[in-house]
Amino acid sequence: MRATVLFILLLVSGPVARAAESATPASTSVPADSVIETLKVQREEIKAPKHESLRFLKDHRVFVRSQLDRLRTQVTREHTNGVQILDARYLKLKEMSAAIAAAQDTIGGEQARAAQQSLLSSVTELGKLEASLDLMDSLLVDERARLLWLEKDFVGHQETALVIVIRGLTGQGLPTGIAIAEENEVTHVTLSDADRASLARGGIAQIFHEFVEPRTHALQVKLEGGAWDTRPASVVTLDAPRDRLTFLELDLSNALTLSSLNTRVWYR
Amino acid sequence: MNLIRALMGPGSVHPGGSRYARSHREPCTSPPIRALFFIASLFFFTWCGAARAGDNPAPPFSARSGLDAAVNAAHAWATDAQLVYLENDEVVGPDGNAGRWGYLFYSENRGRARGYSIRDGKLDEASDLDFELDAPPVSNTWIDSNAALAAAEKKAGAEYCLANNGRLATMLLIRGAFHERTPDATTWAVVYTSPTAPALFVVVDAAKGEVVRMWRG
Repeated sequence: MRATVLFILLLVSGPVARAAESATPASTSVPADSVIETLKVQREEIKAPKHESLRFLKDHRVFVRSQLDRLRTQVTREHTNGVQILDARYLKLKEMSAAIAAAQDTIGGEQARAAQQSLLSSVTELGKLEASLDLMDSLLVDERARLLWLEKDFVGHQETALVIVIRGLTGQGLPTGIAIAEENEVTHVTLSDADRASLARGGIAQIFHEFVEPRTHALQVKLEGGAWDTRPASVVTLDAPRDRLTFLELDLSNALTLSSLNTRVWYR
Repeated sequence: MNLIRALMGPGSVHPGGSRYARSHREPCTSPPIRALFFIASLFFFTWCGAARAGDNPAPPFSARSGLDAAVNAAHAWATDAQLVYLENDEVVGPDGNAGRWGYLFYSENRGRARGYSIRDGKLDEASDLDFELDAPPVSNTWIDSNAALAAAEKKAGAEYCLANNGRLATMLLIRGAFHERTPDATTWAVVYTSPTAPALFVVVDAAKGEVVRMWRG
């Protein structure tokens, strides 16, 4: 009997030891901005949609797929090197760049002249100083006009995007990272040393900036590392309006004691 | 329960038994108050029903009118997303407009298809397609649902509905699946159904606006 037990133990110990060896993590370095794809098999969650969509396709999927299976798709790529109309904004940007360079030259010249004149020797020179100040004013007006043009151009091209910032981590253990999940997409954000230092001093860190679909989003936010591992994920719901920049601020000051996160949402 | 009793009036007996019979000693609700109560409850139940059914009817629009919102959402999901299929998500009116249209996009990079339901110019629903569909992208030029429906109605649809008490069930846009002779063409398929006859499929070439095929089944 004892011999049989020993034999079984010997048989089992080999694979177990091998499994333990293989379970030891290999020391590999992964670039910070890489995409790691993992495969996990789960039973499908039946999530009833708010409104049914594409009913015919779903009801007749076999028929439609059988029709598509009989197709052969051929992709032909044609490259043409025709003349394209240049975007007028590029020319405008070039003009603005030249104007900025000219303004810098003017300022440089004025500064040099001011350095040479330590004392005003006559009323005429006072007049020159006034003219110099007027010139500076006009340069500032030009600069403001350029900035307004750039802002208008930028705002006009805004696409639907979401920015998430965190704050409120002064005087408590900082998380090493944050996982933001929605449906099957999970984004892991690792806080850099600069982010951590800023947060520890009461600063704000931007952890996410991506294009998103213009709809209501339910984000699962999970803080990782140390005491934060025991805290369950919180769900944050927000609307992302089309062609607007949506900002979500997560205030983590009471996050370890509260089950929900204090949030603030604003748009631009 | 008081509401039911108030509606039933004094002395009325509930079908469930005498338990609900109004006692003659109970204060009697005067007829104008009862009428007011009835109207208020009618409003309340109508409102509840509308809310349950999912809100007020959206203004109908053509398939192409909602494309911009769908493309905008799809490109936030995947920059290489291309439209491969669309169909009406709500009933299509005689003018070819519907309150909601569903647009399906496929992304080579993601290897997935995602559907967007557009209602009132906004994204109403977004969900991944739960099965594989290897559909080619539809061509850039396709006639709108109004023109496609008009062509189908003129050719056979109107006659079919009249003869068989039928109705327009579905309009869908796809490339390659319904036009065997010219699989490269993007086509509208207009599907009519009837309680007394097999369904009628009318296929309209989405580039030319001509009916190219019809069948019953």
